Parts: sequence; structure tokens; C-alpha cells
Amino acid sequence: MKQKQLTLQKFIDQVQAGSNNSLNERVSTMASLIIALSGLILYSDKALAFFDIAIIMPDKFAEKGVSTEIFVWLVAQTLSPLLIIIGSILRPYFYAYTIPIYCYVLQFYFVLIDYSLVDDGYSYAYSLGITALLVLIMYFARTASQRSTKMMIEQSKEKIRKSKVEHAAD
Amino acid sequence: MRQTKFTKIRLLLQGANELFDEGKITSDEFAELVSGVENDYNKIVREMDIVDTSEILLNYINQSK
Repeated sequence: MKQKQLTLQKFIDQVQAGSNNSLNERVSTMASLIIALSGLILYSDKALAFFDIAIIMPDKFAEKGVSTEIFVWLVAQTLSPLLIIIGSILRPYFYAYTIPIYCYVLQFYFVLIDYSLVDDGYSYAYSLGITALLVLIMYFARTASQRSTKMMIEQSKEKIRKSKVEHAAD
Repeated sequence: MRQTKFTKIRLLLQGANELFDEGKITSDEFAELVSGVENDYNKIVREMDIVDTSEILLNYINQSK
């Protein structure tokens, strides 16, 4: 009996101390932020223009008449897949992918359907979409944890019921 | 913070399930653990409801000022 209590106490202590599991949660949160950034980075040309931040562009682009906005967009396009790969390796929460998916779908629309060369008019669509996605993510994050805990309790209770039925049958 | 509380509950349940599966605790002991964990769960959910209601009330008061 004492051995059982010790085993359980050891486990409770590990949980209270926030052992590897909390580390995993922290890593997953960081990975989710990286995944979210991979989508948001596509919006960096607009953010730089909005805050009036000047950047240094290599001469070869300036000589070819590439605008700063397009250069920043190209850099963001290059970085974004790398961020997705890094974030994916670190096992992010699944819902984090909604941000890059939304940004890329909007970009897909711009590239194939819209006839303008620079997506200047998309600022509101980006802002509204990202806000709506963040609200949804916050809602799901809040309820998902509660629901999965409740489900686990019900599964454990079901296991107890089955065990009692088996014992009664014996 | 709330997620952390739920995570701790899930980890405790997971540990209790493992101990029960390995035969280290009896079904009565397991039932006692699950019952305790369920009480904690209900307490957290009740606290969440209170916080939510308070937020709604505060918003209503602020709007009607």
C-alpha cells in the first residue's frame, strides 16, 4: 500500500513540478508562433510601409527597377517555407497552421485571379481575416483543453465500470 | 493558466490509468482517484463560469455608463 502511495506521489510531484510535459507544451507553443509567423511574414511589406521603415535593398534589384515592396515580399516568400519547416519539426499545435493557410489562400487569389501587380488593396482583408482567425484560435484553444479533459474523465469512468462488471462476472 | 490546470488533471488521469493498467492500484483506488480528479475539474469549470459571468457584467456596466 505504501509502495502504491509512493509511486502515485512521485507521479503527482512530477506533474506539479512541470516536468518534460510542460517543456513539450512550451516547445509546441513556440513552434505554433513560428508557424503563425510564416504566414504573417507575407504581410511584412505592408507592415514596413505602414510604419514607414526604410530597408536597404541590394543594388541588383534597384538596377532592375524592383520596388522595395516587391523585394521585401520576395524575401518573405523565401523565409516563409523555412519557418514552416522549422515550426513543423518542433510539433506545433494543429490550429496554428490556419494562419499561413489563410495568408497563402489570399495570396493565391491575388496571384491568379486579381489583375493588379501589387496587392495594395488587401490590407483590410489581411487584418480582418487574421483577427477572425485569432479569435477562433483563442476560442478553440480555450474549449479544446476542457473538452479533452472531460473526455478523459469519462473514459476512465467507463474503464472502472467495465472492471467492476468483469469482477462481478468472476 | 486554465490550460495548465487542465493539463495537470489530464496528466494525473494518465498516471492513474497507467497504474491501474499495470495492476499497481485496485479499481476502488482508481475510482477514488478519478472521482477526486473530476471534482477538481468541476471546480475549475465553475471558476471559469464565474470569471466569464463577471466579464459580461463588467462589460454591461461599462457600456451603460
